[in-house]
Amino acid sequence: MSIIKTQGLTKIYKEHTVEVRALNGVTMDIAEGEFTAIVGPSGSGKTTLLNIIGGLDKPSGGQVSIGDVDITDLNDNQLIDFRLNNIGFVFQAYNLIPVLTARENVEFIMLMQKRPKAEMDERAESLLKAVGLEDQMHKRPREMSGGQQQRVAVARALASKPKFVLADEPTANLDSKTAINLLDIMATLNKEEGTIFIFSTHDQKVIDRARRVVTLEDGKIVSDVLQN
Amino acid sequence: MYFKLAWRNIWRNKRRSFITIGSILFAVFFALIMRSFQEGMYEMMIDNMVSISTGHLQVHKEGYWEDRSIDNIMTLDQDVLKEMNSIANVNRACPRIESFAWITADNLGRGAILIGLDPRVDVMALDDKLVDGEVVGMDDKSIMIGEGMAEYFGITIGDTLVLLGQGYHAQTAAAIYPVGGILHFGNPEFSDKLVVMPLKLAQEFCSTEDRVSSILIELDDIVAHTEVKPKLQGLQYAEAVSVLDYEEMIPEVLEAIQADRIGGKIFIGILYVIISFGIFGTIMMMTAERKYEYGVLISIGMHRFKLFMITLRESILIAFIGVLMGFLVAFPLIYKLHHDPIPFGEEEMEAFQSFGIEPAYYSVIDLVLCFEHMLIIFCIAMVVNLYPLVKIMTLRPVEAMRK
Ligand SMILES: Nc1ncnc2c1ncn2[C@@H]1O[C@H](COP(=O)(O)OP(=O)(O)O)[C@@H](O)[C@H]1O
Ligand SMILES: [Mg+2]
Repeated sequence: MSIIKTQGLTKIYKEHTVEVRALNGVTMDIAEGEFTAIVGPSGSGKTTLLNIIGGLDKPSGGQVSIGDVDITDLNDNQLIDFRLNNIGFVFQAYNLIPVLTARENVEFIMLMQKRPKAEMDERAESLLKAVGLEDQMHKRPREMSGGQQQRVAVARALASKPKFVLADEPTANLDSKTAINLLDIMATLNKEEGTIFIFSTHDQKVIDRARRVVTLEDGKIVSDVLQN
Repeated sequence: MYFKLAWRNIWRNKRRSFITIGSILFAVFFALIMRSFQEGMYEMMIDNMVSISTGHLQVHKEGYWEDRSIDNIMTLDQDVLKEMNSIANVNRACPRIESFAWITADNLGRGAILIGLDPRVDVMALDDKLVDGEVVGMDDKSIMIGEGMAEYFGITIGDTLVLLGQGYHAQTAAAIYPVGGILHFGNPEFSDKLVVMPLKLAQEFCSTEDRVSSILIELDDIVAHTEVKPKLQGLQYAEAVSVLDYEEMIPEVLEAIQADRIGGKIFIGILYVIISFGIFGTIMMMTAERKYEYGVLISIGMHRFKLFMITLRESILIAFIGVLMGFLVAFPLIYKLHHDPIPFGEEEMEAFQSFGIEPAYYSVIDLVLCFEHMLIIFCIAMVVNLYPLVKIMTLRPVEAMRK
């Protein structure tokens, strides 16, 4: 059953008089349990697509529905709540609040959801353990490596029990060994928690880990394949 | 956690926080010291005028204030005096004779102001002013003069002066009195021209019998004058009297003070504007620096207003620390200057003597005044948060996070 549906998504940026068609009719479905890579050369529209699916940006045309909600109809405050409770985000870098420890960063999002303290403690610990940071929980972001920081970001993204996690080039700032390690952790959590992961990348080794690969070019889907 | 976040954010950019706290501290310190010192100066000026020449309130025969002649004097009724002393908030009632005399010694002469008073009860605080000799007693036949006059005539204790004046109903007033004490006055006008004598001696000199020129009223607290005045007016006098308060008696002094006070406030206003820009600058820098972070937080589901409240908590903490520290640094100094004023150096001495005040750094302890300025500065530190408020409310996460 598909959770995310996009229908004829377009996004046009106007810079001065020049129009850029970042997305040009993107229609796709994403089903429960997917582990999907959005790939394509730089400027092909990956970030734009993820931002629109994540409710961070509005499309110029087309629809996005998540579950039975058409998120293009939601106002700013509704979207914020929707994101908090349905979507986990992992950005390319600087995901974390610098003055909070790894554990506090993970708990913070649950605090916004007003979860009970006991549940926050328990879930923060188990997620940080799952990403292999049980002994780094009390470190602040700057005391951790880039890979470790991204693992905390993944733990945070899952802490809110979202329907899906969006990760825009989560490995772009990591060396390939660390990148593969992060992908393995994401894949494991995808299985264990059953959370959908959608990530963009142009790293072939990362692409190899995905089960579905959607390729964009000039804002259009040019291929959509299941692998392994 | 939100408080923890705000608290840690303060230490995130230590230098910037120190600059902000420092400028708030400085503004509070400067405003409190300057205003307390200013008010202290006004208080000294008023106290000085009130204790030497007018009293907080004054009762005299109707018409005396307009024509201060020795003929315009009133009967002193001891019962009325007692009643005055028993009015709530009246510290003491001091009958006085006031007149003019020509003073000579050898071949020198000078015009003088005569004040006859009861040395034991009068508000003039003769003990504090005495620099040589003794404070004369009520029944003594000697006088006290200002330092300036003693110097002019080149006389010391025990020397005599000739007083020539006009007595009640054009009677001749002439006498020779020995000088029993020499007094120090901050105001050179008083120092050069004042002759203080026991009330009885003055009455004898001016042939006024039991009459007095005026009764000066000293209050426990100057603000009580409005409630005491009608009570004084309600007493039974032998003739028509008028009761004036110090505001009516020294309006020029009060106007000068008011003008100076406004000047001081404008000066502090300018300081506040400068400080506001300083704090605004740091908060702008902070907002710009955290744009990306704000983008992340709004993206992952934090409401904008909640995010602003975190920033505001931080500002409240910083402002609170700065204001409190400013107060804690300024207050001991204000306290010290209140209880133990520091005398001026030579130069300032001359400049200030012309104001007729004791030349010393003295300040009032006025907590309302302190909190007023602390509150203003705190509010400034809050108002600048409109900038991050607007920025956060209009922030577009996608743009904030694009590098
Ligand atoms: N805010 C914007 N204003 C103008 N053009 C933009 C903006 N964001 C993206 N673009 C353009 O849209 C196209 C797609 O960008 P993007 O989605 O970032 O691609 P990718 O993430 O695949 O590199 C690019 O040509 C880019 O220059
Ligand atoms: Mg991109």
